[in-house]
Amino acid sequence: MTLAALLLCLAGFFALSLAMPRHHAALIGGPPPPRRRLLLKLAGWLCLALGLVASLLAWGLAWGVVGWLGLLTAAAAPVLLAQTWWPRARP
Amino acid sequence: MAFGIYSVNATGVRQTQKGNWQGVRDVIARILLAAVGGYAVMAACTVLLARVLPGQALDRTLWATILSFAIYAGLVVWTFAARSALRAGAVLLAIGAVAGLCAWWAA
Amino acid sequence: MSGKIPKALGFRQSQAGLHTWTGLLVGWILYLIFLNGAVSYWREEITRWAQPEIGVTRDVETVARGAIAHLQAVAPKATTWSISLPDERAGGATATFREKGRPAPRRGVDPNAVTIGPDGQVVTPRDTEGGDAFYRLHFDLRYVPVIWGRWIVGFCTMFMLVAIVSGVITHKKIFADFFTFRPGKGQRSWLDGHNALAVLALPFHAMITYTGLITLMVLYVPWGVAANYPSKTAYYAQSITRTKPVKPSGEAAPLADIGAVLKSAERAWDGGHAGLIRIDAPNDKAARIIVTRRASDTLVDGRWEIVFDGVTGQIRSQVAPTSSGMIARGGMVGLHAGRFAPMTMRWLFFLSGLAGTAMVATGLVLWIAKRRQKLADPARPHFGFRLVERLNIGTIAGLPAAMAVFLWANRLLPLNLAGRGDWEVHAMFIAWGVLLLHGFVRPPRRGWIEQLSLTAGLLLALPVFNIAAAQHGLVASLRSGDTAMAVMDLTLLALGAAFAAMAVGVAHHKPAQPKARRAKTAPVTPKAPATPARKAEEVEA
Repeated sequence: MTLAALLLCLAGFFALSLAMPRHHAALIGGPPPPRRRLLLKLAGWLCLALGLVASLLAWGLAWGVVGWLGLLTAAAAPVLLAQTWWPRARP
Repeated sequence: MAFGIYSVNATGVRQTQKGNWQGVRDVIARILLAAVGGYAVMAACTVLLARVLPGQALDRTLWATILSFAIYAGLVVWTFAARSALRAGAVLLAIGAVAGLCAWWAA
Repeated sequence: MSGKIPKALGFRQSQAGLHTWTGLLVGWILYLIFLNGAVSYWREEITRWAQPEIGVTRDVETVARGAIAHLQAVAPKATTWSISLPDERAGGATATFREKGRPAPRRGVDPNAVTIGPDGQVVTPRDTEGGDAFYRLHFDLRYVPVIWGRWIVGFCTMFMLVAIVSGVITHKKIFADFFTFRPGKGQRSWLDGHNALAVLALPFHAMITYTGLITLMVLYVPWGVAANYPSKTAYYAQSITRTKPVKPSGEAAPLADIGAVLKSAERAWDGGHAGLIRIDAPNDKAARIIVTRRASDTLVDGRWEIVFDGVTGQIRSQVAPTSSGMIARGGMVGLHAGRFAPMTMRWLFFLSGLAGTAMVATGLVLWIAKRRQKLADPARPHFGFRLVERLNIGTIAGLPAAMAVFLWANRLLPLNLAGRGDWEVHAMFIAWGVLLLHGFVRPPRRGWIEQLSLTAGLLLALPVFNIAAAQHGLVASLRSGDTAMAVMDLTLLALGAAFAAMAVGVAHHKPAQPKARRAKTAPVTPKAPATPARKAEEVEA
């Protein structure tokens, strides 16, 4: 369940990062069309929210929120690194 | 000069003000106001809260103390954000006086 | 400044200056606090690593029985017996006693205390503070009276709180820049790295700073107490409810079975465990067994106590935190200390703590990187610049080396050295002093490379030494199933590798050529290696 929570947060942040023009342009090319942008943002926030649910299931009420915040940190870092180095790897 | 007064905006670009004596005096005044004045005003607010919050004495005391650091941080931020040191000092004084009076009255 | 109203810009600007100075003035102490605080999440493991003579506790009841057997033999007529019981992460138990009329011992100096090993027998482990050295250092400091240390740390923590608030206010594009890191752009990269480390773990940083203040809140802000209580004693009488010691009746009676008592407590606490046993008037008819709950059982730092009749083993009374204020405060202290944190959570806390440490470090380096561009004469920087640059080397690279020296001293100092525990800590500070001096004496670039390499070497060699010269190395830990010790050795290797990478990064970094004064066009920045990324990577991995 912890793993599921982490993966959901990773997916959520990845979607949110792609919704940003700068990162979309770097990874996919060109600014994101408005509809896609909306979808990415919705999907991103939804995944983060589901990640919170998974954390509560994994750790219970007392530590669930704390755990979620920790997972948000743990998930944001790889997305940051991916956005930094992945575009450079592309031709 | 090592301690010249200048500021940077969030992107790191420096905007130099004319470094003059009044600038340094202003900063020192704010430092004293924030550190000492802020602590005193926060203390007054804490006493007020400790008397005015609902609940038993122990709970009121604890909650007021828990909140005190947020109050202090807010006062420090205000002191440096105010348009002038004088303004900052005046507002601090006002808050402190009101809090102190109410706290004394609530005893 | 396109289209912004002057007032809003003024606010952000003012907070930028506030952020820089609150961070800079106490940056080195904050680095010490964050680094030692982060490793303190492994306090029990480090203590076990430092006392390999004691294995991991498998059965608490055996230890408790052994402690009682020892105390019966040594002090059957004492007024009070005290036994501290370990949890799964810690090693031995401590058993001690107090005689009538004798004063309570000063902290850390108890001639009656012995250590009980996992088999219930008395063991004499090497004299060491273990993980407690780092833990106490991060809020008591050292070589100054404890109260001064706590005030200095509190002062710095308040600065940190203001730095966090002003940092968030001043960070104009905090959401837009959330996933932005641009390596190889000199000062820009340091700023990105500092922002990333700060923003990505912002909930942790804010929580740890605020709750840190809360742990000593009545010391720093006694006004809430002063408002409602005539004295601090009156306040403590209400807030700390300690079961009063009983007087012996003079009639002898056998002590109740401690195993039954512990099981009874476990039932009463719905599966909770005992952390402390106090026995008043043992072997007497009026004996009482007071069992306090294990600290790591619950999030809230508070007093859960059950008082048993010392002869019959029946429960006489129970105490649990009820005051909303005490629970709130206890919860915040519990969050800060990571009480009741399952292993994954503990690792997240530790990594966030390392991120905080790196955040402070990148902030200090960023200050230098920015100011370097503005130096009128790069060959002769002004005093403030020189001071910060040199302190950075001796602290950011030097302090971790000193902490590694502490661990080395634990392995190398003779076991029968008087005051061995103190000397391990002295070794750490002597090493730090030497490295601070080294930072002032060597050219900065050399200083960085040498100290980072030293730290890497010390950390990497330690697990190797453990395997080769001591019997408690990685291989032995894996074989005996002691995962915690194996992981500790592996973590030391990983940290050593991280410092080695940093040393290599600095060695490859080509410093900017002094450029002719130009108009405000974007200067050509040097290719700085991805050092902040490596740091972020290593701490977040």
